Amino acid sequence: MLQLALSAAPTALSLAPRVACADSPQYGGTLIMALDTDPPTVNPNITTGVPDVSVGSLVYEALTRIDESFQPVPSLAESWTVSPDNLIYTFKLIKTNWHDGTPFTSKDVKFTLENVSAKYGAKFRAAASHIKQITTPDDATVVIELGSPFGPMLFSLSSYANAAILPAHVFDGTDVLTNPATLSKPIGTGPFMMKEWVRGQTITLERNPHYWRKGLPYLDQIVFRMIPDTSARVLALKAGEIDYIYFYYFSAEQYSQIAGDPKIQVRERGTPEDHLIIWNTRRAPFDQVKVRQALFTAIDREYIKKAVFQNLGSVMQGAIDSRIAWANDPTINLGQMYPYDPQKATAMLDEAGLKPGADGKRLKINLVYDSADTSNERQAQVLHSMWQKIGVDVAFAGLTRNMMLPRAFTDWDFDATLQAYSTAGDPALGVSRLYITSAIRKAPFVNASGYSNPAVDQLFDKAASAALQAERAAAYKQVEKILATDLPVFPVWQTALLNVASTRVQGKWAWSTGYDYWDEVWMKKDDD
Amino acid sequence: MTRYIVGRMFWGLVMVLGLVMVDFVITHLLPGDPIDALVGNYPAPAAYIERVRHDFGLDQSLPMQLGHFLVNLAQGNFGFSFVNRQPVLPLILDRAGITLILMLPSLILASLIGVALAVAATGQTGRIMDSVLTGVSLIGHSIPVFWLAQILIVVFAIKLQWLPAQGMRSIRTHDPLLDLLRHLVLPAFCITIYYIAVVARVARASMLEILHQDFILTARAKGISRRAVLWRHVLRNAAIPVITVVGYNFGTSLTGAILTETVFAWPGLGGLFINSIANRDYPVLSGIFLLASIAVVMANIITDLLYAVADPRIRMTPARA
Repeated sequence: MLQLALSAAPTALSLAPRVACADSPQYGGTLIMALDTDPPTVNPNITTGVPDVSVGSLVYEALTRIDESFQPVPSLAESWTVSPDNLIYTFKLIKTNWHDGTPFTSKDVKFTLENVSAKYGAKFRAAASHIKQITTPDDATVVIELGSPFGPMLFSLSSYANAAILPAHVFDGTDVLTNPATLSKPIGTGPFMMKEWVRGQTITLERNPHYWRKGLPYLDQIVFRMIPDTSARVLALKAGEIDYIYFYYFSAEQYSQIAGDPKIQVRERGTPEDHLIIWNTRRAPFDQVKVRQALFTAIDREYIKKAVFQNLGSVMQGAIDSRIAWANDPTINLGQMYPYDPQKATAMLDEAGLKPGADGKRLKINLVYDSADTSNERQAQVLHSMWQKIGVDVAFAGLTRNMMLPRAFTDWDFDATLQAYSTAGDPALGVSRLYITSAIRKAPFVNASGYSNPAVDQLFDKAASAALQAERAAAYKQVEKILATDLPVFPVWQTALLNVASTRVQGKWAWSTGYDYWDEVWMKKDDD
Repeated sequence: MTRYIVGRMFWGLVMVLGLVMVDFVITHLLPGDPIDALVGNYPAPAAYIERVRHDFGLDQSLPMQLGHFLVNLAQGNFGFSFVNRQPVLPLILDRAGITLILMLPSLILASLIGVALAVAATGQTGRIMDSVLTGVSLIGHSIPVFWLAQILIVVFAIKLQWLPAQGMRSIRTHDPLLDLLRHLVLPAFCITIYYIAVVARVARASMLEILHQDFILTARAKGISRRAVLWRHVLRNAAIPVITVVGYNFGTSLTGAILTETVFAWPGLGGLFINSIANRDYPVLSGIFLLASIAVVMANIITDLLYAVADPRIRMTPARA
C-alpha cells in the first residue's frame, strides 16, 4: 500500500507511478467533474454546500483567492494596503465587466459584502462582526474599516469564505434567496459562464471569452456530472467518463481502487479537516479531566489510522491541525504526552474513583455518530474494543444525519460524538468554534462539548484580533498547550484530503481549497 | 362495464388521497427537517435559517401544513421543492419519464422472455429447460442488484470499455439515440434479469397446473400437436396469474429501480426519491407518493380489465342468481 508522506504545509503529491509531467498548457477541451447532486443554488455566498460553491466559484470571483500555501493573494483586488493599526484595508480593484457586459465597480463589492455575505454567509460572519463600515471613494477603490483588528480578514474575502462578489445591478432591490441569478442563472466576472443545466444530469459551464486574466482560461468547458453513489463516481473516473473527483466526494476506503492505476493521479490538498471525538463535559464523569485523559490513554490512534483510515493521512497531535503550520506547535505531541497504555489508563480510572462494578464494567459511553460516513462505524467498533479492555462499555448510536444533528447539537444527548470539523483554513474560523464559550449554542458544528475555560476564550480572542501572524501564532500555541491537558475534544485523525483526477488533467487543479485556480487548468489531448 | 370502470376509478382516487395524507403525516413526523440538509457542515446564521423555514411553511403546525397541501393539490399545485428550488410537478414528471425509459422496455422484455422460458420449460425438452429456468430464476432473484451492477460496470465499462459506466447520455455524441441505447444496456440488464425470474416462476407454476387438466388430455387425444396445445390452450388458460404479476410489476415500476438508478447514476425518480428522503424534501416526497399511488391503482384497474379479455368467463358485473 502506498504511503503518503505529508509535510506540515500542503504540498502537491502525485502518487501514480507514471507522474503526469508539466507540459506547456494546451488550449481547448472539456473537464468533467463529479458532484453528488444538483446544487440547490449557484450562489456561493449564501451556503457552505459543496455543490453550490463548486459551481458558483467558477462563475464568480472574490477580492482575494487562496494560493497553495493557504495565503490570500490578489484576485478582483489587484493590490491592497493595510493601515498600521490594522483597522483600515484599502483595495484597488481590477478593471473588468460582468458576463452581461456591465462594468464591475466598487459598488458591487460594497453591496455584496453588506447585503449578502454579512447576512447569509456562514463563513463570513466572523469577519462581518468586525467590519465598522465599507466606503467606495471611487469605482476602483474599496475601503473596509474595522472596529477591531481581525487576523484572517484577507482570508475571509475569498470565495471559500462566502465573499464572492455578486453584481449589484442584478441583485439590488430583489430577494437574494429567490433571485434567478441565485437559483440558476448566475452572472459573474469569473473565467466560466453558465451555459446549460440539465437537472439530475449535468451542469455545463463555458469559457468567458472576455476574462480579465489574459490568455485564460485554458479550458473550453467545465461540465459537472451528478453521480450520487460514491463507488459509481470512482468507476466513472476509471472508465474515463469523468476527469476529476473533489476530495469531498472521495473516501479514503476507495484509495485502493485507484492506487497504482497509471491513468489516475492524486493530489492531497484542501482546507484541512479533522476527525475528532467530542466529549459532553456537562455529564459526569466526562466532566473530569482525569477521566478524559484516562480514556485518551486507552486508545491507540496509530492503530485507528491503520485500521479505519487505510493508513492514509496522519494522526492529529494537537488541537490545531499541523497543516496550518504557522499556528501549530510541533513540540506539543499528544502521542508522546499520553502514550497508548491500557494498564496506565486502568490505574487512572481507579484513581478517579471509577472502579469496576460486579460485571467488570466501570462506565458506559453513549457514542453518537453519523452513519453515512462508513468510517464512523468502523471507528466506533475499534474504540469499543480498545475501551472494553479497561472495562469501559460503548453503546453505539449510529444515526442518519437528520437524527444525529439534534442529538449531538441541540439536545446534547450524548456522552461522546464522532465528528469531522473543517478548520476553514484558519483557526479563528474553524477551530475556535469547538472550544470557546460563546460558541456554546444549540446549533450544529459549534461547541457541542460545553467546554468553557476563560483562559482559552481569551487566547482565541487575542489570536483572532491580532493582525501580525507571529502574535496570532504565539496565542494559538499557548492555547494548544491548555487543550492538550484538558482534552474536551480528542483530536484523532487529520483527514487525508484526496483529490483524484485523470492524468490528462494538468495545471493548478485542486490547488488550494479546490475552488480557485480552475482558469489555470488544462487537459492534455489524448495520446493517439 | 363503464360503470365498473368509473366506480373503480372513484374508489381508486379515494384510496390515493388517503395514502397521500398518511404519507404526508408520516414523513413530517420523522425527526430532522429540510433545513439541516440545506445548511451544510458549518453553523449558518440564525436569520437565514428562520427565513428559509418560514418560506417553506415549516413554522406552521402539521394540520395547517396538511391543509395547505390539500388545498394546493386541488388546484393542481404540487408545491415547491426545498432542495431543487423548482416546482414539484414538472420535476417529478420529468424524472418519472426517465425512469420509464429504463423500466418499460425492461419489463416488456422480461415479461416476454419469462413467458417464453416458461413455455419452453413446459414443452418437449422439459427437463433441461426446466433446470435452466429454475437456475435463472434463482440467480435472478437472489443476486443483489447493486452488486451485479458494479460487476457489470467493472467488466463492460472499465475492462472491456464496450459500454458506458454511468448516466443516461454522453457529454459529446454524434448519435443521441445510439448513445441512449448504449447507456441503457447495463441498467436494463440488471432490471430485466430480476423480472424474468419473477415472471418465469409464476408462468411455469400456472402452466403446469393447467397442463394436468382433463381438457388438455382431450386436446392431445384429438391429435392437436403438443406445441399448439401449449400455445393455444395451456398458455391462454394460465394467463391470469401471469397478468396479475406483470400488472403488479408495471404498477410499481416508478419506484422499482432505486438501487439500479443509484449505481448507474440514471437520473430517474429513484435517485430523486432517495435524495428527497435524506433531505426531508416533503413536497417532492408527497408528489412521488401521489404519482406512484396513482400508477399502482391504474395498473390494478387495467389488470382487472385484462382478466376479462383473457378469460371471457369473467364478468365485471355481479353474478345474477
